[in-house]
Amino acid sequence: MNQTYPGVKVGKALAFVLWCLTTWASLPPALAQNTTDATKAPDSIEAEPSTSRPLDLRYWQPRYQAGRGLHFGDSGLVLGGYTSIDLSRDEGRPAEVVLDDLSLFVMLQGFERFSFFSELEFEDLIRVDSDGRAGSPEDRFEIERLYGVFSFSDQLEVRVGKFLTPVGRWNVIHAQPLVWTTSRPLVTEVPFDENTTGVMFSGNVLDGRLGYDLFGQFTNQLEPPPRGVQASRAGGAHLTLETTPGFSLGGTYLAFRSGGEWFHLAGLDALWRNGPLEWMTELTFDEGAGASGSQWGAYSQLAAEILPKIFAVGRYEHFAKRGAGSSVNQVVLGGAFRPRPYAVFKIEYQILDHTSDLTEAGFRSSFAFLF
Amino acid sequence: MSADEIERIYLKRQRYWKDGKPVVPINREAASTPRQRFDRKFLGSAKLDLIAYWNQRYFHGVFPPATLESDEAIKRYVASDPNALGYIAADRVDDSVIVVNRPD
Repeated sequence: MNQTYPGVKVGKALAFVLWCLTTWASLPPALAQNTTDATKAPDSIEAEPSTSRPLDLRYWQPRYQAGRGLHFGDSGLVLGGYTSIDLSRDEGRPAEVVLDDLSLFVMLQGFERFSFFSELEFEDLIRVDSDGRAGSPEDRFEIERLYGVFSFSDQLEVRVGKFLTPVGRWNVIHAQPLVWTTSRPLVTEVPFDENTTGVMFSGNVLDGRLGYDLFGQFTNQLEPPPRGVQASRAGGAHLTLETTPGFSLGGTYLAFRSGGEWFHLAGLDALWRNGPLEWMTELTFDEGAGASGSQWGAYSQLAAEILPKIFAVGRYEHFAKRGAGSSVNQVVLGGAFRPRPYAVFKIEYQILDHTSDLTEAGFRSSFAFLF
Repeated sequence: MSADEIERIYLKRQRYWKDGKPVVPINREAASTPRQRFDRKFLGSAKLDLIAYWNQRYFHGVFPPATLESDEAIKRYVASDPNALGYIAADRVDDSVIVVNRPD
């Protein structure tokens, strides 16, 4: 190591220790030397009710299940999360290994009509590149989500706090263990603030086939993002209609104020699953009410299980950012291996039609898991 | 009770009975034969789809139904909780529970 990035902090060291512990806890039984029954089916990762009572020590007895968190008996307290380590090499740059995400979930369940959820995220914890530099130049700790849910019926629940903005599909499931590629489509992060701090009404009607989210932000964002769109006020809606089994169609409208200007965004999304195939697409168009102009983008992604637990993935995206000459076409080709239901290895190569300040061409891979 | 409603309940897309009380669905353990037959019959999805589905729900703080490891345990639980729903072999049914669906 001949150089270091500035700013290695005690917090990051603690986060790294935590990451090591959670990694160990999530290893297959033979490696972790724990006593979990290795013969269990891979998806046997569910909570079981017990008969203990609040004053009984068993009420708080911890029970860990890989990919489903640490449950403290019948108390309703659950700790969980996910993490991701990435290896990438953008064209013309050194290769990098990054411990990119460590997200901790703190959940409180067990009430009939109320639940609490929070996600605390450490980003860019450690970065080592092939030129010998090590550090974490963009490290960050943030409250990614923090909200309470008041559930009145299947048709109405109210969420209050900081939550993921329900634009399309990717943003609300963006965790690395849940998506097919290490890279993220531009259309799912560039045009809008990924979080909203406010109130959201959600529910479903028509026997669950039509779902809705209606949300608003009336205060400043709790911990606004360091770059990109920073919404200070927002309001919008997302509808999802399951038209036939395996196929659903969604639509989004979002108005938000950023940098003193109001923007209006409209979007469409769709998801189709049939046997070993999954197809997902999103399109957004947004325009500023002032002089900012408009931008739009769309992607189409296909994933197919080609062998047991092994998937081929392909995605095409076009994104036309505000301003002349800022559009880019990108193709991502890759694969994924899911050795366990809660873990995934991903590799991919991203090709661009020309260099862009929005994203880079190159190789990316990651190992991510829920814990 | 329709197969569609059972599917919604076991995927936790429907979480309340019509009278507003919360539904408590109970599963057999994932590796068991009754569970696999139930998933095929009522959830209709590939195993992989269900794993992806519950991973996504976990990301939002929603967990799969709790599991019990025998027909007898499920019957006792359902008999003791009027909001509970479970499945057992037809020849284990007695007067302590109400049958709401009898698949072919």
